[in-house]
Amino acid sequence: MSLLLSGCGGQALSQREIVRGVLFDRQNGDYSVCLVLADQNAEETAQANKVACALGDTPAQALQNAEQSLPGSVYYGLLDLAALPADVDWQMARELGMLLYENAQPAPELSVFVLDTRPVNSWAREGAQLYQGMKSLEDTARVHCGLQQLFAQEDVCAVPGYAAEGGYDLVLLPRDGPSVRCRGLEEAQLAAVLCGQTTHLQGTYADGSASCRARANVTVQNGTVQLHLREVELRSLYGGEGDLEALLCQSLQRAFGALNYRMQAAGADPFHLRFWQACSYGPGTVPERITLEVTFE
Amino acid sequence: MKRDRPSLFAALTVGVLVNVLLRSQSGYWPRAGAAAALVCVPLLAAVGWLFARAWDLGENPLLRCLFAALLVYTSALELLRFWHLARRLYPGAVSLAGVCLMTLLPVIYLRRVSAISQTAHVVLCLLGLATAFMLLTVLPRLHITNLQVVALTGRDYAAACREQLTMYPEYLLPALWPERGNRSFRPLYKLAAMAIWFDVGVHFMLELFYGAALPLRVDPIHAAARCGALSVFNRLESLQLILWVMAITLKLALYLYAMRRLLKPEGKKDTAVSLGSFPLYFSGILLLCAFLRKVDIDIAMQARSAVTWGFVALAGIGGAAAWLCRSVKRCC
Amino acid sequence: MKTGKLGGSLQQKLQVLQRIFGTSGDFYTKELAVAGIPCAIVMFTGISSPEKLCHLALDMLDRDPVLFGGSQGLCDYLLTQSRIPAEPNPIEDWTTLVEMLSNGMSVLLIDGCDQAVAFSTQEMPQRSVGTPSGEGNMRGSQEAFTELLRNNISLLRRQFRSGTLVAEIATARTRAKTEYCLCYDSALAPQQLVETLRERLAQIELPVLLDSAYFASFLKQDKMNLFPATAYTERPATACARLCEGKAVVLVSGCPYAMVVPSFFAEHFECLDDYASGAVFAGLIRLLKYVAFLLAVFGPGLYVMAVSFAPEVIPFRLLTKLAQAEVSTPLPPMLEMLGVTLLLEIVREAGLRAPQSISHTVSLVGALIIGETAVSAGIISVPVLTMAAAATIATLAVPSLYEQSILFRFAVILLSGLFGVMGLACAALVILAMACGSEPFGYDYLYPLMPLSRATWRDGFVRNIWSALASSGEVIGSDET
Repeated sequence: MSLLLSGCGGQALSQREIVRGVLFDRQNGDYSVCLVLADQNAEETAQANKVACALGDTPAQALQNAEQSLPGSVYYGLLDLAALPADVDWQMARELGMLLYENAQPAPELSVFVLDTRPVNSWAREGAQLYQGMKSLEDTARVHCGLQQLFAQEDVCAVPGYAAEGGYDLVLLPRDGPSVRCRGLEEAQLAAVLCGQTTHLQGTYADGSASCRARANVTVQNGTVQLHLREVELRSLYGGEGDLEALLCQSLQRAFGALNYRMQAAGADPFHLRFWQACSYGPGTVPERITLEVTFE
Repeated sequence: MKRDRPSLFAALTVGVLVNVLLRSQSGYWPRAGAAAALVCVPLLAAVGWLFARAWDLGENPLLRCLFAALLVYTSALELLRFWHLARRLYPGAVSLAGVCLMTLLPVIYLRRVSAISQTAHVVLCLLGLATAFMLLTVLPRLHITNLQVVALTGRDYAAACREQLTMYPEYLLPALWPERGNRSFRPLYKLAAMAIWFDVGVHFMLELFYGAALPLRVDPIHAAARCGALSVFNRLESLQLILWVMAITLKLALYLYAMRRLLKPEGKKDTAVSLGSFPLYFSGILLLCAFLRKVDIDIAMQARSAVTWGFVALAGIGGAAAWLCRSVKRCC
Repeated sequence: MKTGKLGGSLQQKLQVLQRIFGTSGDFYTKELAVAGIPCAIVMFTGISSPEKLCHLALDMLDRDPVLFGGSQGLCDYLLTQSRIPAEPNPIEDWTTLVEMLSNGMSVLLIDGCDQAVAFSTQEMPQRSVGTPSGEGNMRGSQEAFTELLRNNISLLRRQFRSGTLVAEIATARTRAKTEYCLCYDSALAPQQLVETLRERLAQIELPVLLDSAYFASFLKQDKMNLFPATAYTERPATACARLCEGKAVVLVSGCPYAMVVPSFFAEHFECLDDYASGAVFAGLIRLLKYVAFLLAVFGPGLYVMAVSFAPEVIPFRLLTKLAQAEVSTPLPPMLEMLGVTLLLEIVREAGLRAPQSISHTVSLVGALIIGETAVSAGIISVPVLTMAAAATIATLAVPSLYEQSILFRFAVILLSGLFGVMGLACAALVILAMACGSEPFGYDYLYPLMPLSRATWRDGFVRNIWSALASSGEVIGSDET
């Protein structure tokens, strides 16, 4: 009866603080959290965000402090982005992922990024910009890592990293090894394609001497990773006449070799090579020397 | 059209499918589940069929009362399980009384067999559509590389068998309405096969979605549905929840009808629960839910399954004894 | 009232009639002699025509030279030998006599005879056959039933020119002795249905029977169910189509609507135009009607649930607009929606019941108050008003389920506003269970929509092409699959 008299059992929209993004950072041993919130009073609603931030000894505490600093009740139903600290490792990534699962009940496809290595000076000034930057990066670079992908493999996870100067990095977080932050087209974008987080390559390669734009997909056969490139547009930026395809091939193969070596050393398999090996030769078989073959189609 | 004996198979199917959908955590790896299903499907169907035979031979007031008590207990557990789910999804917004009220209220309109049968057909169609829709929405998120390639151990197979051999009253209920069909093995086999292969299929989809994290996720199906974004609408998982509530209510209505058959065996030709019995039913279930609200629901469900197996064994022994007595009498 | 056998002298009979009807101005008696036998004509002048009587009987009797052999002989002659079209059965008691007179018959009382002869000389003031006002159709017959039972039967028989059409007339157990007619196709209608219906109609006792809808409540199996077990039509063509499906049609004297028994849910979404237009278009329109019904019932409730409990289902851009609109109004969404919906219903009811000359003013003022003033004063928000108006318009797409739509809509708003997703689920299941449990005369109310079968796509959610429909007509019957 009281519900009926008060008019509603739910909560008014205006009393909800609609969270769009949760950004975590770690500085000097403390954790800080920035909640990017939808500004319901703004005229231009689509782009208007405000932030709430707080510090804490643990990520959970920081998140709780940030929530408590808001006048209304926090609503995570429309959360669509989370960012991890730049120095994140496998353990922390899992911990923050679990924290989000428990507190925010987000969609498992919630976009996850790692912050840029450049330190964040002020959440109040940069928080909303960072959120917008990462959202637009996701759209332009067409790279996506869902929250559940942090947990999809037991020994490693790969998360795109926000790069303020353009493009994106890819942060490989093996459980039993140090984090690897790949940069540029040859490393980061190749790794993202191999991890299944994008199907597009776009950027410069060979020390910025040429640019590439292509659609990519991967097949694995008999110990060879085949990278199929379609709709390829290669352009020399300095007017040279060299073989751009061969140059791209070499760059990618070199990068793949280095990445694969580092991941094997850490006992991780972010590129699912063991899965394809098991599909071909049965579970438990160990892949021998893996090579990358680039095919232009 | 017109049916003198409406089939309750659709209602039973909804009952077993909703058990899969409402599971709070995945139970096994799909490869192990698929292997176990080959054994568990015929086993469950055979148990149901034997129970029906034994029930025909050895039915007595004590067994009827035990069965009715089991159904009341299961009804309360279903409500509590859903309450726990609602609490996890909408913390602080749903009370146990609210869940009970909203779930039990429609049972008044499901007191006739024909209403249960027809509603079950509709809910089954809607469940099928909703599941297909959810699959479509998460299709781009299913990665074949998420399938786990580690070799399965005996423990994995045992876990799958344990999960699949959970005994739900739906396998036993056909014994109560013999007039709705002959004592055929086929419908029971179909029911068990649908339930278990649907379970395996759902686990397979979840593994494609979650990968190694499959055993960790709480309410995995509902969480996966949160990704649904085929349209301009962001998340439609609450609409799926509406269907689950419908399915649970239908299940409770089926149990209530079965209880009426058990407790008033003389009125077997009646096809409806009388309105007069609803106050007792509502208050009884509410009280039981309030009493059991603090129990660990997963343990209680396992205990319920064990008790159901015990009840099946008891009925089987009773049926066998009755058959022996009759055979001896005939020989003498 | 006098009961018992008709007997005594002519004067005694006239005295009795004077006692019964003496104060009625339209009661007419005329004493005359036929072949020397004292007789009297009695009738009600408004509903029976003396001219017709003269033309039919009296002129002919004057010309007839036959000697009748006393009072009884005259009666027998009129009933069995004469060319005069008298009613075949004699009147033998006072109850029948009064009934005949009330039906517009003229009765010839004969001195010393225990029987009287009735002549069918009805001439009642009546409305001519008009066009249907409540069932809009562009194609097909444009005739509508009228208030006169006989006319309605003739309209039906003209459409259904088959010897198997049975029209059983009976008198309802009411104080006014209203007649009704049970029509069915004896070759198609299930025997059990006809017998049950006949029996139930005969048992119904009512103080007054002014509309066929009065029967509906008695024919329901579950009185708590809001879905109707019967449908109504004012079109003889629609009634004829239902007869071809094996259903029964009940016509009540004084009511221009035929009641169709049993009625299924899908019928409310069908109309004659469906079958006159192309199958694809008809299918689309039918689907739109189902969507309109869902919108009418669930739209406002879904809005309240989404805004108050599950904002995540709303697209983000829309959500912020809704939030801004919500801030500007004082009431919570549920009360706001309830208020607007109630107000719209009041405006509709006032527009319907008010004299025609001011009904437009009522609608205009209502629309202005709600649409303009309330929004600008910040009492109600535009999204709520839009949703409520959309639901109200959608209700009119399925007018035969208007009552149900309104009642269900209020229930859905209340439950969704109070209990959120659970409330909406509860309301949806109650409505579904009502539809499934309706069972008019034991038939599935959702037939042919559920269970899914070929009939569902033949003439259910959509309509198949005529060549497929014509191959086998759909007739109600038993199905134990």
